Amino acid sequence: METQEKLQSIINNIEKVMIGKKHIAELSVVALLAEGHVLLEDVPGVGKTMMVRALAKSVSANFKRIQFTPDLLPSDVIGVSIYNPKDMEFHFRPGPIMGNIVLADEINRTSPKTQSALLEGMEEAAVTIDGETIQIAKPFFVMATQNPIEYEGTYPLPEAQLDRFLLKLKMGYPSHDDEIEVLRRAEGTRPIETLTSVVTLDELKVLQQEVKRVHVDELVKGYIVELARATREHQYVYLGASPRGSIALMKASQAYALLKGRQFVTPDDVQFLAPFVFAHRLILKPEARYDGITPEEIIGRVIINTSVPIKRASR
Amino acid sequence: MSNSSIVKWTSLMGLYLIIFWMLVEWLMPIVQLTSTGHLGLFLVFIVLCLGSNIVNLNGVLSFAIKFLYIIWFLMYVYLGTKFFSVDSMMKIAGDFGISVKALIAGDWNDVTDSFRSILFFVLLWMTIYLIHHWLTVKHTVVYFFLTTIIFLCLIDSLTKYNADSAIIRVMVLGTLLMGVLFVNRLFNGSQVKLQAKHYTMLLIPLVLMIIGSSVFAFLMPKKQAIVNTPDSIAKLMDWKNGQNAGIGKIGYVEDDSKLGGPFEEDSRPVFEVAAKVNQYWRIETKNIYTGKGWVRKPGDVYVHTFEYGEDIPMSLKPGKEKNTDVATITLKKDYKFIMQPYGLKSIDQPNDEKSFYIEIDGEKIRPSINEQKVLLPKYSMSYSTPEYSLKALEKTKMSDLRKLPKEYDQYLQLPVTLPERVNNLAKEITKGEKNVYDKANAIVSYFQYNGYQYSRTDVAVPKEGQDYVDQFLFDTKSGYCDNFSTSMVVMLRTLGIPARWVKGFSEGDEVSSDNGTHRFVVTNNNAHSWVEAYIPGVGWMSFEPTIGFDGFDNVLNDVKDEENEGTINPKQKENEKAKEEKQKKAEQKKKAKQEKEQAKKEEKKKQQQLEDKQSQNETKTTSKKWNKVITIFAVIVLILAALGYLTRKKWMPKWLLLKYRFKGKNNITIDRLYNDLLHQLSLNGLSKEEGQTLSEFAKLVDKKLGTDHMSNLTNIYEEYLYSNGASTMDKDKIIECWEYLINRITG
Repeated sequence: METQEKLQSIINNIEKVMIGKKHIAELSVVALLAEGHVLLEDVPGVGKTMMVRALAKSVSANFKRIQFTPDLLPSDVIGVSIYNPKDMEFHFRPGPIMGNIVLADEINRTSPKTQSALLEGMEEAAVTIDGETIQIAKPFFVMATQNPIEYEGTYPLPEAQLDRFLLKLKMGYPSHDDEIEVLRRAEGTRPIETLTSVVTLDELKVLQQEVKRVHVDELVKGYIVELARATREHQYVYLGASPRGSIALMKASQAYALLKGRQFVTPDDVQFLAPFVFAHRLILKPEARYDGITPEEIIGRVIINTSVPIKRASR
Repeated sequence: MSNSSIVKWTSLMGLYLIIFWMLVEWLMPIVQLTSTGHLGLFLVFIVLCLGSNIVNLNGVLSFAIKFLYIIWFLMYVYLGTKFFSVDSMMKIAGDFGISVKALIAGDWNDVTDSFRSILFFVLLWMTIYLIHHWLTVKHTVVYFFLTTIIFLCLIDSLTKYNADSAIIRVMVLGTLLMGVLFVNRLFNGSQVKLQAKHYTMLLIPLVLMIIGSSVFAFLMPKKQAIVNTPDSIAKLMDWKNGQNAGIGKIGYVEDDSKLGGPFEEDSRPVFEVAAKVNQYWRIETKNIYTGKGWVRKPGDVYVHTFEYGEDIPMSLKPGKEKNTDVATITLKKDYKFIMQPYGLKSIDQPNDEKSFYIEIDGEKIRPSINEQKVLLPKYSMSYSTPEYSLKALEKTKMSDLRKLPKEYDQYLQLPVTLPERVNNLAKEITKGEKNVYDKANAIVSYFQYNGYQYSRTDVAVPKEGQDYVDQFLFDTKSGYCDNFSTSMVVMLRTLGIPARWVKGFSEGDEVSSDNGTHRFVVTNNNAHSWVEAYIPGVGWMSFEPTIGFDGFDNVLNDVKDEENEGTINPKQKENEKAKEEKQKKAEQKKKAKQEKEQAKKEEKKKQQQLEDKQSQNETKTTSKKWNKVITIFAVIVLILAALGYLTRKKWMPKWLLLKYRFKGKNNITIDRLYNDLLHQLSLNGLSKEEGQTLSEFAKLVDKKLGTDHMSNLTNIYEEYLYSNGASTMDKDKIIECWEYLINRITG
């Protein structure tokens, strides 16, 4: 199982830096393998940036970081053409989006105009400048972070644009013991500096191709569709998971299965990933908010109530 | 003895103490109701049985002790010897032999008391054994608890035994028992060691709850029981003896809504009459036929009051003035109504206090003081028996019936459920008759000549959905006055002739005579019912359809053509008619002789047909036998199926094991194996939930069974199920895991 070993080594690498956050590391790798993007949502100081940097370093990828501020312009993200008086021509100076792994920090602090520049790039894997389309180098992986507690001067991403992210993750605080370990490590040199890459970009591309070959049985496809449908029909849900959501769940499940060393997807994979894939795609009715019900809870209930396929009709 | 086994032992002691008290609750009513003595000795036996279970006595030893105790009991109770002796042993053995013989012969009454006691002891023994099994193996006594409650409820409601407090005691004891057993089950299911501390911690809230709820229930206001059935057992016994209803005692009863069923003789006198002639005594009429019996119109009773000596407005007009007679009634039974002779004119005993009222609907006359019904022990009445002119009767036409006023419609009421064939029969019987009177008489004589029987014992009660009249006319053809009279009223009504059902007493027996005044005694046996029909232009007229009764002698034969003068009984007339018919038939026979040759061929044909019919009948009887066999077979199959279904938890895994072994591993598919396993697991309380994935479920099962076989098997199955099927399976491992799990399920 060479593939699995490689993937495991990425996670181990991240774990050197991030303590007690194995599932976040795993999910990030899942998104990377499934060619999706991740939205990390949490309060400042829990290691969102560190997480992304560790991942970038492990893959020996071209890492870029965009710190979003209210006065950031789209050209600051995608790049700008500058007139060179020497040869009397415009030369394109690529912006920070032109990297393999891009950390978009505090994405909700910039104007919608700038946000959409990034999101368009994420969706198309290309940017358009002065009528010229420039492809972004592959693999292309964006990890955006946003701070959920600050509302003053922020521009929350519209629901439709949240759809562009494959997964939405929450870091959460470390446990008591983990936090002590964090402190202990902070005493010495920062481990991120010593991190070496374990997978090359080419190897990553191969892995991404392998993900696409993971078998998703009709039974499991049916199960994914049933889950998506159930979110649409739920009493508290105003807008359920779209077909794009179903596709996302399938791709993520494939990646997760590969990560677990399997060549086929099981309902367990689907169940594990459903909250991370679906939660940010659901728009709840106001009464759900009054009742204090979160999208994660709804997905949990949907999973409990949707029957898992355990029988083949005939083979 | 370790700490936990002491706890176990004490808890078992406690449980048996509760069981003992519950058994006492069983014994109390039995002893009281069957007046069995020696309750104490029975209790000692129970203590013996329970005690030997608690100390886990050696099987042979405990059997010997119980056996000896029973023998000693028999000797002590039935022979009075306190100690064992060969003589008494022999005597008991003799009794035993006699009883066994009696049992084999089916003579239940010859079974000796000592044998009954033995049986009772054996029953107790078995019951306690069963309870012991429930307690220690199943850890539940729901069945015992439930049967105790049901037993006490039945005993309380069906017998005189008052189980009010017993039910409460049993409820409290039973809930306590179940609670303790639940705690035991909890400890048994988990690996936690049984400790006195835990035990008491769990039991204290239970006891508090039971005490609290009992006190609460005791203080709550209670509703009084609605139905009081003190004699239900007696009724049940009656029901067992009779087919459907109890054997009634003959006599005058007010409720006729459910007719039918056999009657017993009752020759106690009801009243005595002093009159010139013996006659029928009318009490009331009823108009509404329900299909099962007769009822009065619900709602208000319209009455007409009158005084002594005043003319009474009866619908049936009295006869001629010159024929007026007086009859004196002396009641022997406290009936608060008047026995009316036909043609009643007035009640003659001057008395200022009492007055009378007649219920217009039904014509029942009641004496009263200040509108209160009272008893009039002795009274005399003047009456003139009505007489009807045969001439006038023969002039009546059916078409006149249509001109009758609306008030007679109530005498044409019929239930909608009345089968059509009753109407058809009535039409058939009366086809040849023209006038209303003859039509009525045709029905009277129909009963005489068509195989109907008078019987007080062989009388059926109509089944659900069956009509009383229809049953008598076509099915049973056996009954007493109610059957005949009701049938006649109903048939008259189907023809459009207004008719009503009359109740009262038939003629009594003469006991003495003095100067033309005769004394008659009317007994309960004389209770009777007959018919009154309305003949247009003539009025109400009484008819006697019941076989064996003389009927009414009230038709004045004034038709000139007839040779006889004076009165004539309609039945006599019918007899004559029948004679004439016989003569006619004889003539017809002569004619038939002449046509014999022609008929020969036809007869042959008929014989052929007859033979055909006989053979058909034979096949019918054989098919009936087959039906019986098939029914029995079906019942057996059903019972076996039910048993198999109920015990499927036990045998199905074993059967599956055999089945798959027989099939051989190359023919086994994993999905059949796995799904069978899932089914067996769910039967044994390990069922997968809807949203649970197989691996989650497998982990759960493994945790419960303490293995990892389920997860291993599930991994293989999941790969088979969700991958594209390229992988090869290790069948030996599959079968190994599967067999292990199946065996674990069966325990």
